[in-house]
Amino acid sequence: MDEITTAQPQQDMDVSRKTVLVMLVITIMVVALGVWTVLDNIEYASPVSSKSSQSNVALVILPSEAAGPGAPETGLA
Amino acid sequence: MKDLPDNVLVVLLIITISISVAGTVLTLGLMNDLQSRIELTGKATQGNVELIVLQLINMDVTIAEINFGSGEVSSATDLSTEQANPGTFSPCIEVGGIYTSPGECRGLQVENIGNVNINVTLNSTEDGNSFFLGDNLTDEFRFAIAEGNITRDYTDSCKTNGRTGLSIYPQDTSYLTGFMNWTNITKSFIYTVCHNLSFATDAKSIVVEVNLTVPGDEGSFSPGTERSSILSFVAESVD
Repeated sequence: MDEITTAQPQQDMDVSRKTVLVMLVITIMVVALGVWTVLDNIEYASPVSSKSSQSNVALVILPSEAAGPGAPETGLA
Repeated sequence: MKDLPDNVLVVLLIITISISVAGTVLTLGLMNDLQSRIELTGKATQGNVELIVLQLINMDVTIAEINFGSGEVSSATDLSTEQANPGTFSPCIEVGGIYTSPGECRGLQVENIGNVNINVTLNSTEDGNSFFLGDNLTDEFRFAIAEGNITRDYTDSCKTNGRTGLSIYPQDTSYLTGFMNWTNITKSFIYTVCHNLSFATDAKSIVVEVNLTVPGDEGSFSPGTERSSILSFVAESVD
């Protein structure tokens, strides 16, 4: 009987079953969300199937003057 | 056997949640790190090392700018990346015809920096008619493709695609003979310029030469403003 009366206050300090249940639900949700996030991101780590690059071609045409002996020659292709 | 107290369970749950969150964050961090790494390193003193090298498609336009500079025109004027251009336009090569001369407009160099052979496509935001506002009958915007790199350290890089039998396009451009197989650019059209570009160290580049014909009356249209076209290259795995 003494053991029962001394054990009773210890049980009162425990959190309620409801709290444990909420924590369990949170755990399951976090784990599920984590797995989902990782699986969703795996595609970014997969090998790329194509790669693109760009380059530029530029020139400036100055105001034309009257054609004369100093006019630029036509180059050869 | 005595049941665990609930508060012990709560502590265990908190640890579980923490591990789960930390694991997710750590995994995502590692995945991002792996994504940016392209080389493998390691050392083995004995035993077998097995690894799978993933297919890496990668390409770079290592010389990506062609700037013909500026100049006046009074008649249809031909500008090209493999010639000494007239007037005050940039001379892309030396007058003696030296093709290895570096310059602002020597040509584009496309390089396979992955670990598989690739096919390379080209498209342009402009064509002759949209590049120049002058006489549409004389304007031209063309390209030619040469195997090897600009400094001519090697000259064999675009192999034949075993399935299609196609290789470089357009073919037969040769610095030795001076023949440039110019192809007129159609705006936004996608040209497959190499059907099987090697990734080998001494055979991984192609050169894109560009040729423009400026109409003689172009100086009357928006003089002094820069005309430019973006050339886009896309690399994909060889079929």
